[in-house]
Amino acid sequence: MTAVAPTRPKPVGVIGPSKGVSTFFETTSSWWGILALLLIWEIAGQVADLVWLPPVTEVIATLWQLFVDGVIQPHLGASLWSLFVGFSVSLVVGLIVGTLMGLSTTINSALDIFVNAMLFTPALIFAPILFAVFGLSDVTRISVVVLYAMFIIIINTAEGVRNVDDPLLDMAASFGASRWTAVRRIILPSAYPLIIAGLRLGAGRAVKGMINGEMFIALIGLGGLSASYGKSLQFPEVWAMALFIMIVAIIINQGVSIIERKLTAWYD
Amino acid sequence: MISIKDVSHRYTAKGREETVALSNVNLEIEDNEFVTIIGPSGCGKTTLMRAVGGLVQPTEGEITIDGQRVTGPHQQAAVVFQNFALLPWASILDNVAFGLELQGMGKADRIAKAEQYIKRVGLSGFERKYPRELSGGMQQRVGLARALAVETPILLMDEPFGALDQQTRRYMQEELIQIWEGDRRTVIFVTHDMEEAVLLGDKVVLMSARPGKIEEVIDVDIARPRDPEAVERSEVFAEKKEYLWRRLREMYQVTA
Ligand SMILES: Nc1ncnc2c1ncn2[C@@H]1O[C@H](COP(=O)(O)OP(=O)(O)O)[C@@H](O)[C@H]1O
Ligand SMILES: [Mg+2]
Repeated sequence: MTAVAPTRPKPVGVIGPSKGVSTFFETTSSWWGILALLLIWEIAGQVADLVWLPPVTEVIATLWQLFVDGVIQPHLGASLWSLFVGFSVSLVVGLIVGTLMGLSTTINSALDIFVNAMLFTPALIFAPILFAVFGLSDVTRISVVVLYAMFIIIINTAEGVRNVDDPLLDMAASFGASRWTAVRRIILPSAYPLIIAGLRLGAGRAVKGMINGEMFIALIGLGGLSASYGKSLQFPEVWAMALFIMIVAIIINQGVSIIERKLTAWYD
Repeated sequence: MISIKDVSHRYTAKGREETVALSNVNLEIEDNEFVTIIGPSGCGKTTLMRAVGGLVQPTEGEITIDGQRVTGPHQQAAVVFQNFALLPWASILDNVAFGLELQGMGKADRIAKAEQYIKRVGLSGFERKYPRELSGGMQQRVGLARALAVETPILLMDEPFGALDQQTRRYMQEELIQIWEGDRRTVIFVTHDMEEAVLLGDKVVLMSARPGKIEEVIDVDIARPRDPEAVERSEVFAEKKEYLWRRLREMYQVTA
């Protein structure tokens, strides 16, 4: 008879690595879908003649003009910068805190509730406080990105670390591995698939956090530009920004998927 | 020489009754001896083996290896695990080299040594494969090569063929006899298979679960090198197997 550890239910936040991500652009049928949607949009816009629904051709022309006039570029730069910094911070802090939570039941029981609560809380509710503390500086927007992205990374990392196969730890110990060696050579490699999945989910949430934070401050970044058009009811511009943000999000998602597949190709 | 003196071990887990896994075990194992341990499941075989490896610290008594007291994992013994315990993300070569790497051996040296032992267990050509691409028998050869590669004087094997089907197990037993006879180490081999215990061992240690006691140490006086098929046809083999079976049946009746 061997001792069996009680099975632990998976926390709600954990999602496994995506197997064979079929990318958006790979299927021709999704191209047809997009084309059909644009056509309906165009016809509806032309026929209905509503202020809030400009035809797609007008929206695309507006978007083009925003580029030609150099309006979008600095905002795009600001957005990507806060995304990059915010995601990097989330990555480093998330991996460290997640690993510690996975290794130590004490740290885990101290932080678990808090981390899970933060995962499901729309982090935007903290924006006024962040704004009060950091004002108009980049830190406010970066903090919102971090609040959106970090917790899923923590949770997935902790779960991956916790799920390590005990016999492997036993094996490493039998060859004289120290605790630190076991973490490096056994625990982190076996947590790898869940960690990567957490990073992918974190990246998606970071994009959301970036736009939401910017819309709250309504001054800087793609979200800020979009919010200011919204206030002045410039609907072609609002649509143009929405379209552009969707394109940016899709490109980032594609990039992350490709990186994820590269990083997990060697791992079964 | 491994000497186990008055060793007892109790497991105390929170919220559970204590389990006496070993009580007053005394055993001496000579260098280069092949000792098999057999007994009903739960009688403390694994605990005893782990204690020799320093993976369990017995609550009473002491274990010494060449006079040195065992207080933790040490470089005198390497373990072969029943569930193979291979790193799924590492190639066969890296798996075999893992113990050497933990010992701090340089890359070129450990690869050369790992290749040597991969060859010895008959896995040449599989260096770049991953554990999941190998059959159970082959995976355990990897486990064996990894343990052999660190060149410890002692090998601890905990039901290493227990997870294999019968033909594979039989084949692995033959291979192990061959490998061991060409490269003698002190082996403690835990099994629940009576034929395996007699076929492989110089001595069979019979344990009972009342609780964790050594009942008897049986000498297997079959000459080396052993030819497995000849051994199985021999009278001594039949007699020892018969005897073991009788003793184990008695134990079963006591506990059932
Ligand atoms: N880590 C542990 N914690 C508590 N009890 C254990 C532990 N490991 C083994 N035991 C108990 O100790 C006894 C001996 O176990 P073990 O040495 O694994 O026996 P065997 O290998 O002969 O089956 C069993 O009753 C088992 O349930
Ligand atoms: Mg056992």
